[in-house]
Amino acid sequence: MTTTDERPPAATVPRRSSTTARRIRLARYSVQAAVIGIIGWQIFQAFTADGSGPEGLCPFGGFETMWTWITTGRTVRHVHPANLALAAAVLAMAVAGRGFFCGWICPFGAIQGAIHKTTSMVVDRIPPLRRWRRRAHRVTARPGGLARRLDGIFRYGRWLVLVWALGGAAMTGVMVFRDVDPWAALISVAEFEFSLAFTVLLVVLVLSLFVRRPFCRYACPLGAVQGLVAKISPVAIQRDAASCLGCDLCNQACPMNIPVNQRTRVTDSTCLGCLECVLACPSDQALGVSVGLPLPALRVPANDRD
Amino acid sequence: MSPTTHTPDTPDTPSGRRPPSMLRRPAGRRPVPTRTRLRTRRIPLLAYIAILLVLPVAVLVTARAAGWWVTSGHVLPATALGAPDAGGGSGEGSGEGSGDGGANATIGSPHDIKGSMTVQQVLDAFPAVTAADVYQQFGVAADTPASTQLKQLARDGNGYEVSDLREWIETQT
Ligand code: SF4
Repeated sequence: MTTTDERPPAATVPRRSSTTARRIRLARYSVQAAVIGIIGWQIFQAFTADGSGPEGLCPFGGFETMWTWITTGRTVRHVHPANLALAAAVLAMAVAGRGFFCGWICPFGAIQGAIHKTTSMVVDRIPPLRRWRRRAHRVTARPGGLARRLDGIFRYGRWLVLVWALGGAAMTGVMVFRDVDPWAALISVAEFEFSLAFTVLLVVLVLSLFVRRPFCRYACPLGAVQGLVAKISPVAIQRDAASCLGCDLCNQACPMNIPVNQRTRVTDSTCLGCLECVLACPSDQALGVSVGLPLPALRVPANDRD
Repeated sequence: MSPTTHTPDTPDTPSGRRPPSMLRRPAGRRPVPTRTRLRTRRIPLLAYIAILLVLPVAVLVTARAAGWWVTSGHVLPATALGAPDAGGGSGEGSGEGSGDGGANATIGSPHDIKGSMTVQQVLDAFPAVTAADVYQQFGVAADTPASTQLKQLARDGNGYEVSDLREWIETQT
């Protein structure tokens, strides 16, 4: 049984502090920059022939080898124990915070986000481009339109890639996904090779100019794993209709185009946990992170506060 | 809708100078009702972020303490893990940390050879191969130390790659 929150929407609601939002955003960018810095340092070390390269810092390698490791005690090539440790960390984060890893830590997601943000800032300053973007947005955002339908279909790509990557690694003992993995291409820039993976990387980077987080949306198997694990997570972003203004700002802020203002709890498998919707929300109590447990008799209002 | 649809609730707050502390619901807007059958409790945003940032660090520190933090870029040998003579198949003591030159990696087959491995490791793994053979393949000086990494040879040599060496060794073994 589903319970509807019957409280009437308030005529006025307290405003969210924009300073807090700015600080949290700054914290997120700082974490992402630090992770990119660590990976960059590893690439530099690999280039100078002293280091090991950043390959050991990819959690998806841990998932790719999981089946082989559980069944034989061995790992597939290119995988180190650190990959398994990172996979465990990502699993823990997915249970506690859904896509938080994607939104706050993943360096490849951060790079795509940075490219899109920079493009947006440039377009904002050039009126003809701004007009062109408005026109394009009218077409792509039309509910039920071709763009929306294609977006919905392509999103299944993550699951296909996941099955292929994990199944292929389990059956062949080789990281089959590595040949097309744009992240593998990026961290191998020191040993540059114009490979299929490099082509995919170029495509993703170019698409990032127009689409927010294209790889995360359509192809990331690590995001898909987290989406699956997050099904058991009791934590989610929650909206309280009594404080919601119905303004749509949360939807516009969401890099994955989740219609946040039509959700009670954002449990979509594509949620990146970036908290952009919460930070964009002008109402202090409309959106927040909450723990939800299936105890119907003890239901308390969605905007319950300590 | 744009945020300008929110009007200040307090008339003494001049719009545009100081943001209003209260927001008025835009006329005619009725948000989608929230529905839940869960018992929910809000988590303070900053606490949530702090916990989620500390969590992976805690997992990785634990992994490190258990000897699992091996990013040495050297093969966690497919053939060595679980093998009695593998020398740390679970990762304990096998190249803790990074940049150790792969001293403890084990090579099970030519496919396990990586650029970060040294010539000596290749010689140890494939007795049929001599140092002179390896140097000749890469086109580097015969007095190059055996402790040199293969990727260094590839860089100094005649364009011969580590992948070429793998294929060549396969034909020799
Ligand atoms: S941003 Fe979303 S949740 Fe917040 S008030 Fe607007 S519609 Fe409601």
